Amino acid sequence: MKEIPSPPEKPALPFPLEEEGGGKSAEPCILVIFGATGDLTARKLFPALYNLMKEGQLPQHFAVVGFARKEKSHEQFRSEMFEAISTFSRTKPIENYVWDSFKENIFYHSSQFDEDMGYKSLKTFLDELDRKLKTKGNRIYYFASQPSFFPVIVEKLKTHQLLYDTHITKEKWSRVIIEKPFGHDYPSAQNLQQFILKHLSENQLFRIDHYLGKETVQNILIFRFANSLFEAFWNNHYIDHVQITVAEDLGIGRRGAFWEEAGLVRDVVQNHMMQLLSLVTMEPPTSLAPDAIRDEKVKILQAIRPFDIKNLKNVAIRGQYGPGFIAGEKVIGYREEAHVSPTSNVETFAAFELNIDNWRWANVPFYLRAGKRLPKRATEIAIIFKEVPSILFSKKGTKIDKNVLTLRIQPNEGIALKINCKVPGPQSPIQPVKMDFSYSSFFGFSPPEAYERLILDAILNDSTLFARGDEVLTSWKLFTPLLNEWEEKREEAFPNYAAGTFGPPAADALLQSKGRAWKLV
Amino acid sequence: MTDNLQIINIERALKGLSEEERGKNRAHASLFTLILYSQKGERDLYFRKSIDAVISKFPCRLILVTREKNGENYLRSSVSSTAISSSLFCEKISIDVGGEFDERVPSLILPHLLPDLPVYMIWSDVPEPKNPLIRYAKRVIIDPEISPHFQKCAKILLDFECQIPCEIGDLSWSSLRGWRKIISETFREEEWTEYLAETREITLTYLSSKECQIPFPEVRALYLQAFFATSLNWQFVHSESIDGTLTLTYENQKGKKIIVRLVRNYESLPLPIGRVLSLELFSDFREGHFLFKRNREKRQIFLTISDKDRCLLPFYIPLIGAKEGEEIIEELFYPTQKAPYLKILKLLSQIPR
Repeated sequence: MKEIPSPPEKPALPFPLEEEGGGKSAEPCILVIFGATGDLTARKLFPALYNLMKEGQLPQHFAVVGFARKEKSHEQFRSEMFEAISTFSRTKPIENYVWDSFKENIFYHSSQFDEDMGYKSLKTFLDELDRKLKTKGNRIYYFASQPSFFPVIVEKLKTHQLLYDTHITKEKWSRVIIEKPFGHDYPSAQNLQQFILKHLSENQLFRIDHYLGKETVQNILIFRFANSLFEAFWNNHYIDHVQITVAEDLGIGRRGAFWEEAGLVRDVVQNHMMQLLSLVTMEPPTSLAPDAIRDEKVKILQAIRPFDIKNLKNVAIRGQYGPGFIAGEKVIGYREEAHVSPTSNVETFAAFELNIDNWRWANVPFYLRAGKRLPKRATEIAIIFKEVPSILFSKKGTKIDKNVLTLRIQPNEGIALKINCKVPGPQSPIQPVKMDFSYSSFFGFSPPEAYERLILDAILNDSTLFARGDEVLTSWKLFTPLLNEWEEKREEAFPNYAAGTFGPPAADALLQSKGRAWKLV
Repeated sequence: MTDNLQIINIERALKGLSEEERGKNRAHASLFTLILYSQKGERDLYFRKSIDAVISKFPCRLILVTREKNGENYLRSSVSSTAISSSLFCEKISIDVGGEFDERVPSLILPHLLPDLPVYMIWSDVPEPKNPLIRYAKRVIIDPEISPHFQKCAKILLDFECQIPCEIGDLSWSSLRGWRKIISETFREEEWTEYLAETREITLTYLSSKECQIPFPEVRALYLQAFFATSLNWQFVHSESIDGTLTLTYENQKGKKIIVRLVRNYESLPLPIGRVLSLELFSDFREGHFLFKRNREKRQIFLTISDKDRCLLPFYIPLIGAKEGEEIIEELFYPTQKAPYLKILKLLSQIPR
């Protein structure tokens, strides 16, 4: 009798009680936040940690240590973070049973960022926490301070053996999460990269771009590669052009000093928008391993045609908002904002035409625009398809709208497809209609905030949603010549758009010259 | 915020509405955004009624802007929902504005234009090409009846047409679609073509009122006679107005004079002011007489045709486009043909008032 072959052996689970399909368990660790008294910690990091704790995602053995220059006690810090969570958490009210256990693992350590004693005492404190809380020496250092402190913090961490050499130390790990901006331009980003890599390896470094933590951004890859329908026409045979918009109705608030140094391209375009662009345009990765995905992202960024600086005005528009009205209320112009020079040359709006020189995207222009004090807050990617041949419906000047697939990143997260339809009746006028998927209508719960996902991934050592060094440098390489040119040549027309409008007329002309128009967001 | 600025968070209010309607098992429906700019008063009320008729067939996001140009500055906004059926609703954003606060209105509206779907504007006021919302509109639909000086309005519309990138519609012109269709089909018959060519006189009677709120009720009558004039290539010679009757003199291509009279009728009828009540055409060919008379109660035209030798049995023809809101639907989905309309505007801009 023929032997029935036995089923293939499943690979052994790493731990006897680890359930199949249960996902990786987070390892015990301590999270140290540098810049713990800043806005980011209060508005984003602690609310994220609270919600991770609430959902049972944090490791059982876990602690958070806030590190900042101000003197305060553990209790004071805990109280402040309670207020922050109460205000900014996406889930309310705050559950006492969660907070009561969470707060026991929140600590505070004060020191100047360049003080050796501060790091010595930090090490002692963390080692003590390891003994008490069994966090095994695993560390995550979150750099939420001003970027100028990053180098000194890294150096001090390494000097005081708070950062481990991965070639030597195997039984415990240390990682660094670093917030944008990563450098100010290509040379500074390169220097920072080289400096940091002297003290730790690339796989210990997690560069946050919080857009990658958004559910809707993660959905771009699912949408593209988990639906066979779309890949067939995701190319220059069917797509006319792509528009990516990051619109904000807010002004710069109290961040005048930051804005005068940074500007919109550094704040939003070089990082967030390039992430969106790369996810929409990349080739399918060979696997879901972090580097497989990031390899494809780098490839596509490298394929973007560099700016022709001599003809920059044809492909790059900058703007600065003047006084206007937002939702009926009068608002001041950029140059009247606090800590902004009355003759500032900084852009609060930018629009570009980018071209990707590869087989998939040749001759498909990508129009990017971003700005402050636009009429509404909206981030979206719009894929505009080619026109139908004007054979059937061209009589009497009937204009058929192009199909548009819109990925709404925020707000009103969802996906919409514009198609053309016949209006009921004896004649045949054609009316565009929208097929609309809205997250909030289909998924009843509020999705996790970006930082929840990102912090958890860093704990799990999954770097898929973090920018790799070469990604960041490639993006800086593209924009640095433009930034230099804009810094050198003042824009005499500033301010050139009123707050509450969609940017300067030149941004419209960028598309109109090619017979296109920005779509309403 | 001062007392004169009562602006709600429209986005939040719309979300709240949506949740409330979801609780009633109604889904949101919108085919387009329709913005109505009108002056506070009777006209505004008339439009609101017409628009309800539009929404019941074609759900849309409605943005109603009611303006009071003179007087104190104020700006108020509110949102509400309209149930289209047991399972659908659409949204209405109402903005009341007075005085100089008018300039703030686009900033209230712009964030709430529905993306990817057409934007239509109905302008029940003298057209303002510089309004920042116009560039987002697929079509701007004018309401010429509200203009006090039609010659000026026609010139503004001609300039408007050159200045704005979108299409222009005209409610008064589209409301005459039924009349034009009937007239065109009547005279298309070979039997009547020569009568038309030998037209001697046309008398148009339109409904007016001594307490008329609309400054320009004769616009439809003017359009209808211009339809004849431009289609048949008559040249305008001169006009005069005596006791409220406007008399226009044309010359046809053979040099023959044609008299057109626009006569007011002050009867109290269940019809909106400005409606054409009758059109009488007198022809030199066989003393032809055509009378197109509107039934006062029903949407019909009563047509009698006679000449020196015969009198045909009169008959009724249904008048399309006469229902409330139909002229708006007409302009949304069956837009005005540009070339003939521009010819009419050019002619009318020559007629002094």
